Amino acid sequence: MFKSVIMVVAATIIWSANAWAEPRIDYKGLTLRPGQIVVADGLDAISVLISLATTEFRPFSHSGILVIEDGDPYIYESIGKYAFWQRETPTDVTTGEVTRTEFAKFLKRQRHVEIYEPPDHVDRGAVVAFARKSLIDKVPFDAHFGLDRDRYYCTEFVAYALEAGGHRIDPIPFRDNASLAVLRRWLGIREPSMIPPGALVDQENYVGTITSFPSRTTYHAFSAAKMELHRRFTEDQKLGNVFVVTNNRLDLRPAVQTFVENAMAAFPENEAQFSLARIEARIQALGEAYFGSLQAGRRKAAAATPREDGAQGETRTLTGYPTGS
Amino acid sequence: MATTITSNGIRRRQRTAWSLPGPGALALAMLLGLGSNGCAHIPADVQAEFRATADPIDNNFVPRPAVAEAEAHMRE
Repeated sequence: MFKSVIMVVAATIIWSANAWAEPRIDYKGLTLRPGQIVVADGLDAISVLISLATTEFRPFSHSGILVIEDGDPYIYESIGKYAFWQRETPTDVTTGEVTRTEFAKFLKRQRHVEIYEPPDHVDRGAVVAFARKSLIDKVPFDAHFGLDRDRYYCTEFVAYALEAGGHRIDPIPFRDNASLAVLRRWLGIREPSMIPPGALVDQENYVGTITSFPSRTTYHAFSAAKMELHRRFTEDQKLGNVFVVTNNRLDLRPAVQTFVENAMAAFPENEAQFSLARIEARIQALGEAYFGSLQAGRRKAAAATPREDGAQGETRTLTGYPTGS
Repeated sequence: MATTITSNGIRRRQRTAWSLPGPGALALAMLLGLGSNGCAHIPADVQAEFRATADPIDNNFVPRPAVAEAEAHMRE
């Protein structure tokens, strides 16, 4: 009798595990599964600012974990809520916590969303369990982008979820730029590195895209344009060379915005017709034609930017994008 | 209406245009103190960093003269 009970319990546990592992749904042709990583981007100056922050370029500006509950997809994410501020720094008065967002609502907030499987060795159950526990614990948003364990910014939350599943994500150092350092100092960002969204995913695990760009290729062109701006934003460059603040609103300078728009216009559609390397080469050439070549001193600074493959120089491939593409 | 892209290709299309960022990005913009808040106080040293480099030679984001001339001509 006791043995039978044990067997039934064991079978139930196995069934439960399988039942958890199996849920997957079709969403407009995309297969969604629990534990998938969702990365997103916007067509805005903030996306460019985030991409300039680290020594190595990475695409995207937001991330979350996909979970399926009662047959419906949700995104678990850590997002900040704006609070009115006058004399304080905005980071000091920002609130927010880990939240659960309906997938459809998440899509409405984002211009471009890509979905990736985690690496094969990742325990998806542990990833989802971490996300749910963070929601229950109401782990607060980390506006100061610290890497402590009691507050999470968006990518930090996803990185720790993956870590719970057995996959570690290393942060990337902030770049050595005096102008960015002034901004970071004001915002109270003391950590020497951060986890950009593009560091969370690998192109080999790509599932699909939902976008309001004309095509994924056009998004790649936008991303390559950001990468060219990153290459040109050498240590001597000021934020004001790229951005302008008007009535406390951040925008790209008109010439920079024209460059980005021209880059996207060069790749309007035709998914998969152009390789990432070809897009990057054309966008970099466009940058050289539009802004001119970096001068000798700046070439040296640009060449000092480390490449993912350990080499240096200006002829970078689109290393910022997930590998394997 | 967004475009869904799978291995089978594009499902739907929509013209892309610059616009106000979505709530997520907007929240981040505000997080950075750069949202539309007329009363917000940005310190002088931070504001100074958002002014362009005085000498265009030291600015990697100034269009080449020929490009600038062509664009000015197009605007006329």
